[in-house]
Amino acid sequence: MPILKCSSLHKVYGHTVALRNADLEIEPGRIVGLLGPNGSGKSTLIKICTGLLTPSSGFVQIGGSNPGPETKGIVSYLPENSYLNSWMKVSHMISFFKDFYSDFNMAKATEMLSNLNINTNSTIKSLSKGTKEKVQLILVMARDAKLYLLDEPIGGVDPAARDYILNTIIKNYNPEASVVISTHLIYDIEQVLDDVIFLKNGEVALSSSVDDLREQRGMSVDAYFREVFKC
Amino acid sequence: MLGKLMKYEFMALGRIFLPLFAALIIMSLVSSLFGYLQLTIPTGLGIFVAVVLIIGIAVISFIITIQRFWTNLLSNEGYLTMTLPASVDSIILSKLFVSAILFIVSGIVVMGSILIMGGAWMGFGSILDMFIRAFENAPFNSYQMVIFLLQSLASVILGSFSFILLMYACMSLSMLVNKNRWLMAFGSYIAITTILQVVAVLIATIIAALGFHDRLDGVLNSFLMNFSLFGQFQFLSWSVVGVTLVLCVVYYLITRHMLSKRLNLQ
Repeated sequence: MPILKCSSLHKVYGHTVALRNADLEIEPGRIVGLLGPNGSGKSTLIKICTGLLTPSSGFVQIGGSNPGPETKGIVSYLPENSYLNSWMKVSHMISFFKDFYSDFNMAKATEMLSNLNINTNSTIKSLSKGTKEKVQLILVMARDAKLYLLDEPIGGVDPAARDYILNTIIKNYNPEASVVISTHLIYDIEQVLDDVIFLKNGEVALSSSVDDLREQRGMSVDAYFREVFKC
Repeated sequence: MLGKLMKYEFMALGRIFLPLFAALIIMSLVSSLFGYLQLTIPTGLGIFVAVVLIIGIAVISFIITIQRFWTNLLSNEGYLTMTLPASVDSIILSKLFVSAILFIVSGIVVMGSILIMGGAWMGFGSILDMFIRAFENAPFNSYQMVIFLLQSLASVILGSFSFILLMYACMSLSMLVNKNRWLMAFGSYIAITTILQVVAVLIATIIAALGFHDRLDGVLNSFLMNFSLFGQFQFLSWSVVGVTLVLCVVYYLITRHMLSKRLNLQ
C-alpha cells in the first residue's frame, strides 16, 4: 500500500489555481524530490498532506487514512517557516516533541544536537536563523515517522550544514518510511533521491525514478529540470 | 492530548502571570503593613502601585488571550500546533480553558489583594461583619442564597467563555483575507457585536410593544406574577445563561470551521 496517495487533487485560492488534478503515489522506503519552480504548487501539495489545507476537490490518503490527528502522528513535517516557540529553551522544545509524538527518538535528537554543537539550554530567540533551522530539522528528523515531508529543508543553511542535513536524511533511511523533499536546489540533493516528481503550474509534469530518468533522457535530473522549466 | 496542550499553555502563561500575581500580593501586603503602622504616604503609594498592577493584570489578561491564539495558531507557530496529532477541538478547548482559568484566577487574586488592603484599612472583622449583614439582609433564604451564589459563579464562568470565544471567532475569520488580517478581525468584532445589539433592541421593542397591548399585557403580567422574587430572579438568570450558552456554541462553531476547513497560514 502506498504511504501517500493523491487523487485528482485540486486547490484554488480565490482566482488562482495552485494544484490541478494532481495524481501521485509514493511507496514506502523511497526518498522523493518534489521539484518545481517557485509557485508551482509544492508547498500547497505538502500542506494538504499535513492537513493544514483542505483541498478544493480530490483527496489525499496517508497510510490509507484521510489527513487528521491519526495521520499527523505518523507524518513528520518541516515547513519553510520557523515554527519554534521563541520563549522556550531548546530542551523545552525537545520535551514538547517527546510529549506529543510517541515516535520521537530522544537518543537520536541528543546525538544530532551534540554533533552540531547546539546548546540545549539556549532559548530559541537567542539562536541565529541558521541554528533555528537546524534545531527544527533535528526535531523533525529525530522522529521515527512513516512519512517525512520536508519543505525547502536546505534553503537557508550553509553548505556544510547542507551536507550534514542530507547525510542525516540518508542515515535515517528506514525501509518503511518515505521522505519527500521539496526544493528548487536540485543539484545539491540529486545524489540522495530515488524518485522525482516535477510540478509545473500546479500539474504533475513528471513522476519517475531517478535511474529511469537518467537512462531515458541521458542527462542528470538537474539538467532535465533546466530543460523542462526553461524560461 | 487536551491535558498535554493545557500543560504547555499554562507554561506559556505562567511565566508572565505568576510574577505579576506575586508582585500584586506583595504590594498589597506591604501597603497593608504601612496602613497598620499608620504611615499615610507610603500606604498611599503602595495602594497606587497595587491599583496600577490590578489594571495591568486586567489589560494583560485581555492582550495575552488574543496574542496566544494569534501567534500559536494563526501565525508561524501554527505550523507546529496545527500539525500536532490532536483534534481541532482539543486545540481550541485547551486555549479556552486555560484563558478562562486565567481570567478567574486573576479575579480571585485582585479580590484577595483588595481584601488585604481593605482589611488593613477597615479591619478584617468589620469586612467580615459587612458580608454577614449582606447575607442576612438578602431577600432570599439560605438555600436560595447558595443557589444565587452558584448561579452567579456559573454566569461569570460562562461569560468568560463567551467573551474569549468571541475573540477567537473574530481572529479566525481574519483568515478569509490575505492582507490586513488584524483589520479583518477587528471588523468581524464590530460586525458581530452590532448584529447582537440590533437583535437585542428588536427583542426589547417587541416585548415593550406587547406591554402596550391590552390582552397581551395581561398575559405577560400574570405570567411574571406567578413567580416569587426568587423565581423572577431564576427566570432572568436562566434566560441570560441560555442566551450566553447559545452565543458560546455559535462562536465555537465559527472558530472550529475556520481552523479545520479554512486554515490559511502565511
